[in-house]
Amino acid sequence: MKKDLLILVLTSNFLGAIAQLSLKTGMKIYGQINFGPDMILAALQPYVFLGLLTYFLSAISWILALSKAEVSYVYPFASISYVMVTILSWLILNENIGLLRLLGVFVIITGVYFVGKSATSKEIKQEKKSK
Amino acid sequence: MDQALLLAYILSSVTINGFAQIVWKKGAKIEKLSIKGIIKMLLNKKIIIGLAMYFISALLWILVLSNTELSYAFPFISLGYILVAILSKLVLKEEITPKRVLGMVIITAGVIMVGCSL
Repeated sequence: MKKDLLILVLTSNFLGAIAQLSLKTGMKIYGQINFGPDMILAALQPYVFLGLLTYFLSAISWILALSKAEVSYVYPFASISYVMVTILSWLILNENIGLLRLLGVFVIITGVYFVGKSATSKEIKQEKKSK
Repeated sequence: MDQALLLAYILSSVTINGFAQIVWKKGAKIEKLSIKGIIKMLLNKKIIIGLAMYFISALLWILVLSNTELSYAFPFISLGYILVAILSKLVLKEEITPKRVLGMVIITAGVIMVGCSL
């Protein structure tokens, strides 16, 4: 059960990071948009479309992971996506990641870890039941 | 784009996403991890509503990404954990432990740092 869950969470985060990269690449090609019908039209840009599809698959693996109810186990792994997206933004999108942004990401990861490790007694009970 | 407007779009996208996760949490019941089990779960009304909300949130996210860097916008998604924890308490009557509050405060601090990094 734990191995299934780990695969789901990692798949979800990996697909999520790829989706973000694809969405951003597509929007770079499509150009700047404002609130309105452009949002739908931009969704048809091939990279954006592919990104949305990947985003959808990532969401499904996340729902599946959530349905196992082991929140305390799932959340810390979700931090991986912040590391992946930051590295990919730097390497592939050539974004400038300043020290403050980098530090902010590390602080967030610490926070996500705490939220995950703070399982409530109800959740721990559920986890024991599912084992 | 005006930074206040940009932040408003980011927060709307994250908020809708958080609500979608709560709707899912109520609907996500899977008996078996198989193709049949997954399809059965996806046909649940709550999951479909959640997915529709997710789609709206994604459209807003496209708008955000067209106006700013990915490495700037993405960390804001972590605010979703806070929203989900608060909504879980209000809607699903789950408890929030002191440690979780600490995690939420730390996440907020990190997001503020990223928010100031433009």
